[in-house]
Amino acid sequence: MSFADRFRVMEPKDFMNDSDRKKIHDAALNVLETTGIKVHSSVARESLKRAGAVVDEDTNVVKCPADLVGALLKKIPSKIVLAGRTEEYDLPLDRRHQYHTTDGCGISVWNDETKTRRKSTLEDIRKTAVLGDWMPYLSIYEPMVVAHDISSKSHVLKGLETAMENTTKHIETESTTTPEEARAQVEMAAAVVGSKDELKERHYLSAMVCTVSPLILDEGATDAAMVWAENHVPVHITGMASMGLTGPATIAGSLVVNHVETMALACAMQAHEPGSPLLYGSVQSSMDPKTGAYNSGSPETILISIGNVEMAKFLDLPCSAGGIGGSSRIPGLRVSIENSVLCSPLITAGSEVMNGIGLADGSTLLSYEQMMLDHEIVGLAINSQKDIEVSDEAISLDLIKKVGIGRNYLSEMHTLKRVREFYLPTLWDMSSFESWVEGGKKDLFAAAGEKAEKIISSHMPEKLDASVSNKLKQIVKDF
Amino acid sequence: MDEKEVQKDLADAILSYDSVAAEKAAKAAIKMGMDPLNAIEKGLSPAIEDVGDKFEKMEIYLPELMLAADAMRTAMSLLLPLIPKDKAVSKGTVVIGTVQGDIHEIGKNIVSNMLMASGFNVEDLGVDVKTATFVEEAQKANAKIIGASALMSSTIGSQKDIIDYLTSMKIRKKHAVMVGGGPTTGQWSKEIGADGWGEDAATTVKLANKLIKRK
Ligand code: B12
Repeated sequence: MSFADRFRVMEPKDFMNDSDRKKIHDAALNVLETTGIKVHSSVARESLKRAGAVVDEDTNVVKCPADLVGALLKKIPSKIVLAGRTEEYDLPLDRRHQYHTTDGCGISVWNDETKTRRKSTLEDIRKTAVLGDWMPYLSIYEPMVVAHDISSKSHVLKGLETAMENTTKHIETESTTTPEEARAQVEMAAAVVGSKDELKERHYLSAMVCTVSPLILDEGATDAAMVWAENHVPVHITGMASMGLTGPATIAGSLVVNHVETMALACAMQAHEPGSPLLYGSVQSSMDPKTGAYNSGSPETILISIGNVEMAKFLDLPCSAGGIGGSSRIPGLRVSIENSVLCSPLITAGSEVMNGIGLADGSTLLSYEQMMLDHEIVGLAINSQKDIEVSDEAISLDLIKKVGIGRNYLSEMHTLKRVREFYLPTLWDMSSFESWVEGGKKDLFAAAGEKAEKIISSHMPEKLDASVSNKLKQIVKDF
Repeated sequence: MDEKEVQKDLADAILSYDSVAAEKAAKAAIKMGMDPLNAIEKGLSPAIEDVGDKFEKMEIYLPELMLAADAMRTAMSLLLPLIPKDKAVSKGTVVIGTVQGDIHEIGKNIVSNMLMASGFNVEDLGVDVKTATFVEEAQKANAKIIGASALMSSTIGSQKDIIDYLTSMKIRKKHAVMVGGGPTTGQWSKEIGADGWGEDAATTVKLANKLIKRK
């Protein structure tokens, strides 16, 4: 079984019909053509203008007629592979696999003994990368925190370097806000895969780019998106319109706003670099009605994320919509409850990449314990969304007849072989109450933290070639 | 209609989150020759404070707060120009913005509306505001309070810059500085020598009420 096979899930189920999807799509086309979208990146504006969009140079508002949008969207590859550092960790996006990333980019770290937070450092990126490299159900590593001990000028690059050194898995970058940062990261990814040409084929790095709701493409992040496009670094277009705040208070309405923004950035990328890969992203949510706070654990958040998946299906694009990552201020029970409820329906709907292992407090607080718990939630969720195999061998008619009435299946070769496929939790087992007492009556959270520490000190990720390491160091140094 | 009735209309307009009614009532007040100060102090202000109270007690939600603030702004824009400059009608001026390099504005907007709803005159400078601009605008508006929002660990440093800038210009005492936004904490506010930290909109109003009374 290959690494990717671990993430193969059943065929996605539809939660919206095509006529409703089309209504959202048509409404979005209407907005894009009549209201337009403000594009603060002059590079993106010029590319869109050249392609035939109507650009108002005074206001930076760009309007795209529906047929132009249609023509540009057609250029996007519908199936791509997110590459690992080695081929073993390649992740096909083919509507039949479901992957999870670590969450980014937190700013503090939880200490469970003292129930306090401290500032995150580069060492936390190293440790989470090592842990992430070990985690059997983590597919993509995103540098999880800001390295406060590194100058703000180069912390993004240093974080990426540390990630590249410590995990063989695909890497997604989140915090890039300038085209220069994007260019340097392209150099780094190219150094790992061999060359910039090879990087165009092997998508070892992907990048999250946010739109600004409602209806704005920001300057820095969008300029960076153009650099990603030039180098065929897949872009997770991640709109965040929040119901009631930066989008209408209804799911359908906020889906429209997000769809406009997603299509606008997708079109800008295709106008700039036809065929550049991208994912229909989004982490939409509902606001907390009383404070406006980002409420990533609400049922509305689940529903709207499902809606995002449905719109990705409508355009037949790779999809990275929604994610776990509770809004509770502290890690633990509440985050775990929210994440557990959120995870499965999105997999069923067909989100191919979901964000979010390991952070609490609206993606700002790293907890090693939570990282282990989230990983377990993901393992359980993926394994409960597998195809039900109905081959002759699985039906095992002969075996049923052979065992007959009232005996059992324990000492059968068929059982011996097939029982290996059962999912075994990485964090707990079925041992007795007595052994729990003997083990010091540890609660799950503390046990998770201990296990994380053990793995971090014992797991050895495959090393980067020394010459590649040196190149990375140089690029970061020269930045 | 007597003055009392119009004052009640003004209050009702705010309490029913209705900008159109607020405009109508303000025009009625002007037409009947009511002292605009009376219209504000006996009609609008008690109502908006009531709204602020209800929000703080979580009896109403954000949209109510925002719409009430809109209605208030509509009526004020008609009444304020008729009041002689030397008569203060607001509690005082707050200049607020999101710091340089940061474009997160949602929290800042909520705070600025809530401050307005509580009777402050608020000048919102928007996002990605340069350190010098905070200070220049605060001086121009004679603002007692500067509010700086920052949502990223990479941009909260600019809150300190504002304070250092004020100090270097020897006008630190003239403007109280309050800070807020996701990664900020009370501890951080102390560290950089700010005058206060607002965890959310309601605590920020309390803080501003305290700061405005100082000196
Ligand atoms: C929405 C959002 C966005 C939207 C902003 C839309 C907008 N128009 O404002 C968009 C998509 C544009 C965006 C962009 C980016 N974002 Co952002 N964003 C968020 C998110 C999810 C929610 C912020 C929010 O609006 N909260 C709701 C409001 C109500 O809460 P609040 O702002 O804290 O405000 C309250 C209090 O703090 C206080 N307050 C606020 N201001 C003030 C001011 C004063 C004076 C006082 C007293 C009080 C006060 O009162 C408010 C009301 O209760 C946060 C995650 C989070 N959990 O916070 C990330 C987050 C802040 N973003 C983050 C990042 C990394 C980015 C990007 C770099 C991402 C990218 N790859 O493009 C860019 C940065 C662009 C830039 N240069 O600024 C990180 C920051 C990490 C860090 N290093 O610190 C966060 C934490 C998410 C994460 N973990 O990755 N983002």
